[in-house]
Amino acid sequence: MTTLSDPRDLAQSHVNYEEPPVKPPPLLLVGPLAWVRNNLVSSPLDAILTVVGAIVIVGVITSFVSWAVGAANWYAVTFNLRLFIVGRFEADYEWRLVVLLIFVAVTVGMAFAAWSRIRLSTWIVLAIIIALTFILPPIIKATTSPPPTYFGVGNAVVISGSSNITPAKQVAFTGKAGETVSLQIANELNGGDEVLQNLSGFSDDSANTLRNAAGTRLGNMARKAEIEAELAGDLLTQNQRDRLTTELGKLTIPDSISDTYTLNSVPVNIRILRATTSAVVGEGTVESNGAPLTVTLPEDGWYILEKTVDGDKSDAILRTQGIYPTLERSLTQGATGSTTDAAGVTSSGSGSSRLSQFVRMTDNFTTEEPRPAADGKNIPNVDITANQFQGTHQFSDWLGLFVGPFLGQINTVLLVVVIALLAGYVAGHLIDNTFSPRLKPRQASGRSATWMLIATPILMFVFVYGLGSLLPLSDTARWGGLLLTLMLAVVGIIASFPVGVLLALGRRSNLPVISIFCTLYIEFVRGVPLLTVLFMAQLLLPLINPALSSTPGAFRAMVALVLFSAAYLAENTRGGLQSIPPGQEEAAKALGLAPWQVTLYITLPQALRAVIPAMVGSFISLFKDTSLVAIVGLLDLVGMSKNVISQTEFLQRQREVLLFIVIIYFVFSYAMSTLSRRIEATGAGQAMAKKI
Amino acid sequence: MAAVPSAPHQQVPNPSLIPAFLRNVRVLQALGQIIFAIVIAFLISQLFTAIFSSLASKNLTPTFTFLSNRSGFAISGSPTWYSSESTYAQAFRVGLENTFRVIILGLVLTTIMGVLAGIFLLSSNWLIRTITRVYVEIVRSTPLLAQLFVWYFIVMLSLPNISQAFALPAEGVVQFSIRLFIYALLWFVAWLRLRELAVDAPRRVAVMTGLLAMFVTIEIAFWLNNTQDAWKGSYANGNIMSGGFLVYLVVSLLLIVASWYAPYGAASGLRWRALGVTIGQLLGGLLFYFGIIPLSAIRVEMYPAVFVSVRGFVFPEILPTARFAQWMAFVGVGLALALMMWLFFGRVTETTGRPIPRGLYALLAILGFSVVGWLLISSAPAPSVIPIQQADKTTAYMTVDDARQQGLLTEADEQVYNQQPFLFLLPKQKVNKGGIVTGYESGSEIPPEYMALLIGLVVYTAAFIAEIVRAGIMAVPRGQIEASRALGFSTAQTLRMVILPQSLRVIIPPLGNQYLNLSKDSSLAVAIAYADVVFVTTTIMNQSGQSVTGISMLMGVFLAISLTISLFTNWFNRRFKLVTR
Repeated sequence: MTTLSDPRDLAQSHVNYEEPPVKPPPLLLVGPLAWVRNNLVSSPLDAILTVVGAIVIVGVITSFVSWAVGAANWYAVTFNLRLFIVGRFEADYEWRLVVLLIFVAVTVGMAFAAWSRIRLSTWIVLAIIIALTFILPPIIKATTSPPPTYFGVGNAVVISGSSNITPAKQVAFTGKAGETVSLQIANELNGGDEVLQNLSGFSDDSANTLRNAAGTRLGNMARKAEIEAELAGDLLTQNQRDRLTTELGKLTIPDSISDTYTLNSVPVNIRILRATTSAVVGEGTVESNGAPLTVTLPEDGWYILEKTVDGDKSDAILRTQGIYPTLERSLTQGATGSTTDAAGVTSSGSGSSRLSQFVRMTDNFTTEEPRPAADGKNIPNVDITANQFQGTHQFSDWLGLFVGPFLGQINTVLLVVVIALLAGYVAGHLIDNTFSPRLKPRQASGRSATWMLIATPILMFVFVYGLGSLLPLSDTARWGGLLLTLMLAVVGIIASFPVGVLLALGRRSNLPVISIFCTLYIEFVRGVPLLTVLFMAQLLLPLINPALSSTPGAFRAMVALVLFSAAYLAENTRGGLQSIPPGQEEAAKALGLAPWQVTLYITLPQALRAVIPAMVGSFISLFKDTSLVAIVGLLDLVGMSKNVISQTEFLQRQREVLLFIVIIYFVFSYAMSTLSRRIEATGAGQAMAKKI
Repeated sequence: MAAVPSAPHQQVPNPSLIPAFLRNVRVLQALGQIIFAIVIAFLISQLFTAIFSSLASKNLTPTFTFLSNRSGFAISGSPTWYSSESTYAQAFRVGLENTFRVIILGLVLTTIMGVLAGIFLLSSNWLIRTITRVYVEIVRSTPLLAQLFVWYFIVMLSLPNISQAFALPAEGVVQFSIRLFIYALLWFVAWLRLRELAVDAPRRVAVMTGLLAMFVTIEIAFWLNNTQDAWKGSYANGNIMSGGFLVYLVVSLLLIVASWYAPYGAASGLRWRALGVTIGQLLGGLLFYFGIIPLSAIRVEMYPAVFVSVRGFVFPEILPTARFAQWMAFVGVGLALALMMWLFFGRVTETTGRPIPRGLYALLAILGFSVVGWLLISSAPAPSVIPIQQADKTTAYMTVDDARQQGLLTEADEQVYNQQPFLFLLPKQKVNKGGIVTGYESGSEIPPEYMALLIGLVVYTAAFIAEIVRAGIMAVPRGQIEASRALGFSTAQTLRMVILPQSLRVIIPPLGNQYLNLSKDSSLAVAIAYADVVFVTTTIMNQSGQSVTGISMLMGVFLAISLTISLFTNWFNRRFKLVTR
C-alpha cells in the first residue's frame, strides 16, 4: 500500500469532526459598547476629545436651562409677541393676515398631499401639541400661584451703597373685580441677613434695597474673610498684597440690616382705596406673626394701597398676593378703532389720540383706566421697571409667568393653522380621487398645489399691502417684525428671479454690448456689500425724482434687495446654463426652433432644474440678508428686537429677545434648507443633467 | 435657338416691404445693440442729471473737495494722530485702517477655524462630529447681524467691569512641586530602559502601570493630607505600630498575592497590570508614610498676559527696539539660506529619489540664525551713560540699569536703549490711590466692538468654510487614500501628498468666495458701532450731506478689496492646477 502523504504526519494528524463551539462575539466588537469604543474612545486623543466635548456640552446645557428657567425674564417676548410677528400692522386689517395664513397652510397641506405624505403619527403628534397648548395654560393657572410681591413700609430711610430710599406711602395697582388681595408682614424674611438676602419675588425699590443691603453686607464679610486668608498665605505677589491690603482697608461691614431697621417688628396700617372714587375698599392692621388681611376688590381698575407704620425708626416688609406689576402699552385711538403700539415706537399717525393701556404681567389682565394721581403727580404704580423679579424663578414661577401666557397667546393661531393644513391635505386627496387619471394618481393635487404656490406670493402682497378700493392700502410704515422680514424676502425672491434669469441670458449672449453690460452689472453688484446698496436705495432714490421721496422705506429696501440678489441669482443660473450640453441647443436649432424658442423650451428649463439647490441656497441667504434693513432703520425682526431692548422696561432683556428672534430665523432657514435637501435627493439637480 | 432663362434660378422678388439689409441677422443684431446702448446711456445720463440737479438745488453738489474740511467728530480707539480737528480724509483713512485690521486677521482666523471644523465634521468621534454639525447648522441658518448683536450685546457687554477684569493667567505665585519633576524623570528613565521591549511585554506593562499607580497614590495621599482632617499629619508619620498602617500593609500585601494568583483566562495582560497597580500603590503609600518624598517646590510669580473686561481686551505689547533692524538682517540671511536649502535639496530628492527632510533643515537654518543673531545683538553693551529727564526738568546722566531701577526709563527710552531686539511689555493695570483700576499703563487695548465683530465674522464664515473643506476632502476618492497606505505612506504623507493637493483644487474656488463674503460682511460693523470705513463714511455723509460721494467712495473701497481678493484667489487656483497636473 502506497501512501502519498508523509507517514510522520499521518501518525500525528488529528481531525476534529465536532462543530467548534459557538462563542458569543467579544463584548467590544458588537452592540452599544462597540459603538462607544468605535465612536467615542477609539484612541487616547479621541477619548480626551470626548471627555472635553462632554464636559462642554453638559456645562452649556445645564447653564442654559438654569438661566432660561431661573434667571431669564421672558416677559419682553411674551408681552411684545405681536410686535415681533406683525409689527404695528393695523388691527382693522388683521383679518387679512389670518386669511393669508390659512391660505398658506392649505397650500402647504395640498403640497404635502401632492408630493409627499404626512404620516398619521405626525398628525397625532400635532394634535397632542395643539391640545397641550390649550390644556396647559388653565392647568398651570390652577396649580401654580404667582410669586408674591413685596413692599417696603416704614419711615426709616433705607441705605445701600449710593442709593437711599424711603418706602412709598402709597402705591397704585390694577385689580380685577372679585379678586382678593391678601397682605401680611413677611415673617419668612425674619432671621437675619442670611434670610433677608434670599427674598424671591417681585419687590419694590425699598424692599429690594433692603435685600441688596443685606446681600452686600454678607458679600463684604465673605470678601473680608477671603482677603485675610489670602494675606495669611504666601502665594501672593507684592502687587497683589498691596492691592488686597488697600481693599481690606476700604471694606466696611455695617451692623446687621435686619437689626438696623428693626425689621418687621411693628404693626402696619393698611388701607386700600378705589382710585377713581377714593372709597375705602379694605382697611386693617397687620401684626407681625398675625393673620393676613384679605380684601376683595369690587370692580376692574386702579386701586391705591396705603401702608404706614406708627414707629419712627422702624421698617417692615409686606408680602402681598394679588398685586402684580404692570406694563404700559400705548394705544393709538384711530377713527376706526384702536391699534396697539409698542411703548417706545412713535406713531406717525396724526389726528389720533393716544392713551395708555396697562397690562398685568401675570395674567395679561388689561385696564385702560388712567393712572391715579394726587396733587398733580402720578402716584407710583407697581410697574415692572421698579418692581423687577428678584432672586431666582422657581420652576412653577417660570411656568406661570411665561409658559402659560405664551401658550395662551399662540394656541388659537396654531389650531387654525393645523386645521387649515389638514383641510388642504384632505382636499388634495379628495381631488386626486375624483379627477386624477389612473396612471398619474396625484396629477390633480399636484396641479392645484402648483397653482396655489404661484398664487401665494401674489396673494401675500395683495393681502398685506392692499388692492385699490377692494382692499384698502395698509400703512407700510407699520409693517414690522416677521411680517416685514417675510415680505422683503418673498418680494426679493420673486422679483429677483426674472431679473436674474435675464441677466444670466444676457451675460451668455453673443451680442457684445449686452454681454458686457450684464457682466459689468453682475460683477459690480457682487463686489459691493448689500449694506451699501441699501444705503444707496435709501439715499439716492428720493434724489432721482421728488415723487420717489415719498416711497416707503420698505419698498426702497425691496428695490435694493431685488437689484442685489438678482446678480447672485444670475450667476447661479449661468452655472446651470453652462451645464447644458451644447448638443441640446444644436439639436433644437436643427429642428427649426427660433432662438427664443430654444431658450424658453430647451435650455432654460433644464438649466433652472439643475440649479434648484444652489438657488434655494441663495434664497436662504437673501432671507438672512433682509435683516440688514434694520441698519437703515426698518423694523424687521432684528430692527424690532433692537427697538424693544432699547425701551426702559426691557433694558436688560437683550438675551431673551435676541434668542427668540434667532430661533425664528433658524426655523425658517432650516426649513428651507431641509426642503432644498429633499429636492436634491429626488434628483432634480445633477441627475437630470446626467441623464441627458 | 433663343436662350431660355432658367426659371428655377430666378430670384424670387421680396414679398415684404422691409429692405433686404434690414432682414440680415447681423445688421439686426448690430442695430439692436446700438439701440440698447443708447437707451442705457440715456437712462444713466437722465439718472445722473436728476440726482445732480436735485443735489445742486440743495446746495450739495457732489465734490471731493469737502474731504479737506475739518471732520469735527472723534473716533473711539483712533490712533493718536487723529482728533476731531483732523480732516474728513483722515477720518476716512482711520476707518479704512480699521476695516483692514478686521479683514486681514479675520481671514487668517476663519481659515484656521474653518479647516479645523471641517476636519471635525469628518471625525470618527461621534460627539465631536455632532457638536460641530450643530454649530455649523445653527450658525449657517441665522443672520450674521443677529449673531453680531449676540456677540456684542450679550457676550461683550456682560463681561466684568475693569476692576474685576479676567486675567489670564491669574496673577499670583504658583508652586511647582519638586515631586512632579521627579515623576517625569522616573517615567522617562523607565521608558528609556524599557523601550526595546514590546508594548505589551509583561515587564514593561507592570513597570509603567506601577509607576502610574505610585504617582496617583502619592498625589491622592497629599490631597487627603491637606484637605481632610482625619488625614492630617499622616505625611512622614513613620509610626510602624499604628493600627491603620498595619491594616494598610496587610491589605496591600494580600492584594498583591491575589493579583498574582487570580484567574485571568485569556486576558493574561491583566495580571501584570494588576500586579503593577497593587505594588505601585504600596510603594507610593510607603514613600508617603515615611516622608521620603521631598516637599520643596519652585515658586514662580505669574503676571497676567491678557486682561478681559467690558472695556475690551488687553494683550501684551511687542515693540521693536533700535536693535530690531540688525536682528532682522540675521533673520533675513537665515531665510535666504533656508530657501536655498529647500530648493537645492528638493532638486536632489527629485533627481536621486533620496528622501531628505528639507523642511526640517530649512526650519533649523531660520531658527539657528534667529537665535544666534539674538544672542550676538543682545550681548553688545548698552551705552554706559545716558541722559535722563528728571521730574524737575533737569537732565541727569546715569547708567541704563540705574535708570531702570529708579523707574525713570520711559517706554520710548526703553525702545532706544534696550539690549534686546524686541520689547515685550506685559499689560499692567493703572490703579489710583483708592485701589480702583482706571486703565492700563502698558499693553495694547482692543475695543470690545472690534472683538465682537472679529469673533462674529470668524465664527460665521468658518461654518461655511467647514462645509467647503468637508466636501473637498470627501471629493478625494477613498481608493486614493487606500493606495497611498498600501504604498507605505504615513498619515502625514498621505495628507500632504495625496489628499491635500486633490482636495485643494475643489476647495479653493468656493473658499475665495467665502473670503469675499467676509470682507463684504465686515461692513456690518456699523451695526455695533465699530469705527470701520462704513461707520466713518456714514458719519461723514450725515455731517457733510455728501451722500453720493460717500457712497461712491465706499463702493470703490469694497470693489477694490473684492477685486484684490478674487485676483489673488484666481492666481492661487491657477498655480495649484499647474502644479498638480
